[in-house]
Amino acid sequence: MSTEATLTALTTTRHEASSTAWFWWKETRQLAPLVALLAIVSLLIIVINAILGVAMESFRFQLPHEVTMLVFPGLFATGAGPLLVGQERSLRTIDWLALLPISSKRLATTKLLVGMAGLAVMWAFALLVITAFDLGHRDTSHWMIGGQTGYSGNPFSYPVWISHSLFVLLAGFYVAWRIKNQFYSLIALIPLAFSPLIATSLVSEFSNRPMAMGPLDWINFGFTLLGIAIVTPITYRAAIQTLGAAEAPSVTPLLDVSPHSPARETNEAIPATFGTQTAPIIWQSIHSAKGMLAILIGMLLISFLAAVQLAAVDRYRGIIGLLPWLLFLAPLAVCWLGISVFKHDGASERVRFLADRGVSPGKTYLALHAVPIAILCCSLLVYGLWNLTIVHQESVSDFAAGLPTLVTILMFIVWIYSISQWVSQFVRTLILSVILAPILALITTGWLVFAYVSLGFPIYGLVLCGLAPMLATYVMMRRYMDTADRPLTFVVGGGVVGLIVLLPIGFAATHVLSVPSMDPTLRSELISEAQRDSTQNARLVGVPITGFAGDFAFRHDPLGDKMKDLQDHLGDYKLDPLKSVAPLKAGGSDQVFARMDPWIYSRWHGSIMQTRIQWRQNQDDQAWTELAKWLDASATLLPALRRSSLLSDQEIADRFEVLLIDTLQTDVPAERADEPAVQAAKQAIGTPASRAAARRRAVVVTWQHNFQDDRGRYLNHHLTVLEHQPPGLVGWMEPRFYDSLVTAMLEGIDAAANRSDDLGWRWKLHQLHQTGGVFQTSRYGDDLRAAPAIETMTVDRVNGYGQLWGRDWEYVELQIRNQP
Amino acid sequence: MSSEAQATDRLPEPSETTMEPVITTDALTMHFRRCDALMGVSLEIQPGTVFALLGENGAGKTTMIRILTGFQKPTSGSCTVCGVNPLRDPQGVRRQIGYVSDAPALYDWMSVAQIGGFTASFYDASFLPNYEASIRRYEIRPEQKIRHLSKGQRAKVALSLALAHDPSLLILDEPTSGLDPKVRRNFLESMIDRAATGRTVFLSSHQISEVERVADTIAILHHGRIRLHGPLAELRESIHEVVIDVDDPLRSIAPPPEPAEVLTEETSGRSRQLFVRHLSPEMIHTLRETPGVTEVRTRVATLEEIFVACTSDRTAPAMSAAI
Repeated sequence: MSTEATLTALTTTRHEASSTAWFWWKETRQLAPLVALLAIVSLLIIVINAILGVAMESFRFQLPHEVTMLVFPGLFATGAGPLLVGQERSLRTIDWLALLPISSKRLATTKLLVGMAGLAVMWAFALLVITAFDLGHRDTSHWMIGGQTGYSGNPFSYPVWISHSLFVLLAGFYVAWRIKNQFYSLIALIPLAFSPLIATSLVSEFSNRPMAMGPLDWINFGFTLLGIAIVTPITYRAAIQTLGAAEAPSVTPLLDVSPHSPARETNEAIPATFGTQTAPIIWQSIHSAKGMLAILIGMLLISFLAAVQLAAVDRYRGIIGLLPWLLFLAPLAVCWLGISVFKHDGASERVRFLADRGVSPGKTYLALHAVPIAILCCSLLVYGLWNLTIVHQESVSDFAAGLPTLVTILMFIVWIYSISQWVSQFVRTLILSVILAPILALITTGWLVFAYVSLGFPIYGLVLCGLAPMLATYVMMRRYMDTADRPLTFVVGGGVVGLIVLLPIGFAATHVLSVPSMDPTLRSELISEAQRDSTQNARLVGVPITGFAGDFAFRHDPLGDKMKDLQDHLGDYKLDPLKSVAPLKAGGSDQVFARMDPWIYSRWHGSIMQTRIQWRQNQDDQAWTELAKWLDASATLLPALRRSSLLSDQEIADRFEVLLIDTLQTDVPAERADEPAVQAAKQAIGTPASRAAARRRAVVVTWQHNFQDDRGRYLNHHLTVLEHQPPGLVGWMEPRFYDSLVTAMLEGIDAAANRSDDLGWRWKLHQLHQTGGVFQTSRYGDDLRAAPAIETMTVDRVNGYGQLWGRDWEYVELQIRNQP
Repeated sequence: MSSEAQATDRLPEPSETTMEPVITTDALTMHFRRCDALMGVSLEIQPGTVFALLGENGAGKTTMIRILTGFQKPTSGSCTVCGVNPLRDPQGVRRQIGYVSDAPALYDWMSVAQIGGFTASFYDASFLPNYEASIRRYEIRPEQKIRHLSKGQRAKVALSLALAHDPSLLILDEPTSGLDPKVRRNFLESMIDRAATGRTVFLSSHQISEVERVADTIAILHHGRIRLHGPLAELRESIHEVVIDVDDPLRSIAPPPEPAEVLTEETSGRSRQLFVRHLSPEMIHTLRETPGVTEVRTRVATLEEIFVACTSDRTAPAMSAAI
């Protein structure tokens, strides 16, 4: 805005209106960074959630819980007072403002009204985001106080959230008017902000009975309104008092005081002496922020005592219910210890003082970090020793059972501290640092935990990301000391953010790319082949399986009912094979194909085995007729299964062939070799070449359909190797592993067709299906493959493709023996 | 209405300038926990004058300004500024004054034009043209951010803001620190011009030469007490440096009799240096006639010498002992 524009604006507006407009403009402009910051961070959280959702949840958008958005107006309310009042007091601009002909009343109310307007904007934004992205659950009554808040994961109803944020805003203004030191005012705000919750918990404690979420919501609302009613007038009074003339200290004039003790004066006059150059800087670090350090140590201690208490109780009711909240003081204290490195009252002057005296940046850096790091080390030591005394297993407390290890806590502390100290060097304003650092530390910690758990980010990477912000502040130290850190600090900051964001992604990408994908030429050839094969003329015919599936249908019935049903359905268990294959026969043998899942096959397999046993035992016509019926039906079913383009059907067909070959070789006598059922069964058994063709077709078609059947259901193809991959990368690695699977299977098909002893394809399939096992003793190893297939094949499931391929049964010269 | 016309309108009557002091303090006392900042300070500053308050660091100058501007309540005593009690009606006082502190705290995120527009909104329409003219005179670009200004430029902006509403009383705490010599000179001349139009300038400074150039009245504050107060010209005429040479370094000399007041005495060998107020030719003659005195030289003291004499704790014990 140029002077001319300013002049025009002033001359064209009424005087009073213009001063109000200018005043509002100034206050709003001071709040703008906080509003912008919170809006950006909240949108960032949504974007991160959406991206992670896309990456993790099979490409579905994932959104944060509504509570995430409801917290942001509260954060704004926390920062508004310290920013509009505390910062002005700290920078002394409030004195300049007070020199203008503005009444204290107008000054105080305008600031408060701007804060309230900002809060309203934040709420509008939060509710807009909640509505736009449909966060939360529609079925809970958010707007009704005492509604079903407990069922939604949202602890409070919206009116409580809104009224509480207003209370926090007023309380923030109150502490900012009362306490000049911005940090102390924020510390004072913490218990004040939680006072309605504390009061509610006390009511719950002393009511001596568990209270439902609804009544607690009402009580909380009541205490919040009471808090607003109390804080509003005292905030106004504090503002008027602060803006008015400072009271003269009520002290006795020095001239009237009895003479000072000479001994005391001498002691006070002796300056501290130090043996090294670093010692005075550490001494300075302690003495320049004594109060701040004491408060932060107090916060750590309170949090620790809360943890000790929580580890000893099994229920969190009443006042104990507040203890988990106290645990948050510890990460907050770690965060603010990081901020204390570069931001507290007089911190910049302190660094400037050292710079002017030629103290090296490295020494200054170490000395600035020495005290906070010493405090953190002591805290870790205390935690570690206490953790040793805790019996984690069979503990009465879930909290005690789930206490993190010392190393885990150390890792969290490194991240939080490192990010916070970087923010404190990067951001110029204490208040913005104090609010921004916990949010950024939370996001970074969440991201790195996600990277470790879901992306397989290694521990040394976590350490590297934790130390990167420390390195950044070290690199910038000389320029920071000379107040010449900008704009390079943005470049270094971008590097830090880039490293923390991109390094885990880089590791993940490398890990994904370590699995070779299929050669593009081969891929296009296979796709063409699959498209050609999938448009076959044959049609699917269902194979009705008669009889009861099993007694599991009655598993939940009382015993009497079960017995009755069994009596009623006696005989219904018998599976009629000819009835099952009748539709196949009716459809014309070459135009139809069948499908069968392993469980159905296991019943078929069991029935044939039963018939074979009966035949062996009885050796009569009835038994033979029964066996012949099964041979005939199997001879119909097997070619139909071979015509299926589903890989699992080929696996079943392999088992069928193994079963038929075994039956024919073992149980059919020579005199019945010419019977139609036997001949049909013999003809149904394929050759290595025909099997290879059917398998290849099934492999490429199934692969083209992403290993799903025509109803979109995943086939029984689970790759064990995926269980050993980071969960966040499974979605990205799956296609590559399937490519590897297909390549290995095609190699296996060729090897089986050519009766090759090639080991490569088997080893690959073993790696994919039985990751971690010993190859030699696995189902792909020579030991098991040397045994007869009928004895070693799985019947009720397919636990790895190709286990029957290329084994002896494929090349057997079929001979009907004389005697079973 | 032009600023000149307004200034003419506000000019007090000659009778008022003599009858109604623009600042009065009556036994102002301010005790802090570790020091006594003011001890019974009583002053009267007439309108249309440039008043300079001199004192060492920590003498209590800023405390006094804070009391006068209504930021601090005194332990005891009272004061009025422009006829208003700053403790009862600080806004009434601030409406009539312009104040520039030694380190003006301005909103550094605002531009020069914005801070002018913002401040102008609380004053009448003449503020902005005056401010605009002032920053143009100081050659400061309006679109510049305050944070990008040099220390001197910030001081100029603060001065422009304090002067743009043409206050009847201008209070300046070390106003020229940071200003270059040329601007400093122009500024000081403008202070004289302001006083000539009936406005009052209250100046707190260490720059003795500047004070000497512009001040009509001065007060020297030392350890919370007013050591000297009066028109500069009268004070300069009334204080002399007296150098007495004696034949024996141990010889004691009687001090000049009342109404003479010995501010300081310093001995160096056979030579004694005294700063004496209200010294008469007869007293010099008497000194010359004193046995053992070989020579007496006198001259009018400079303001700097007066300041040093008043703020020095070296009183005249030897002289007293001799008496």
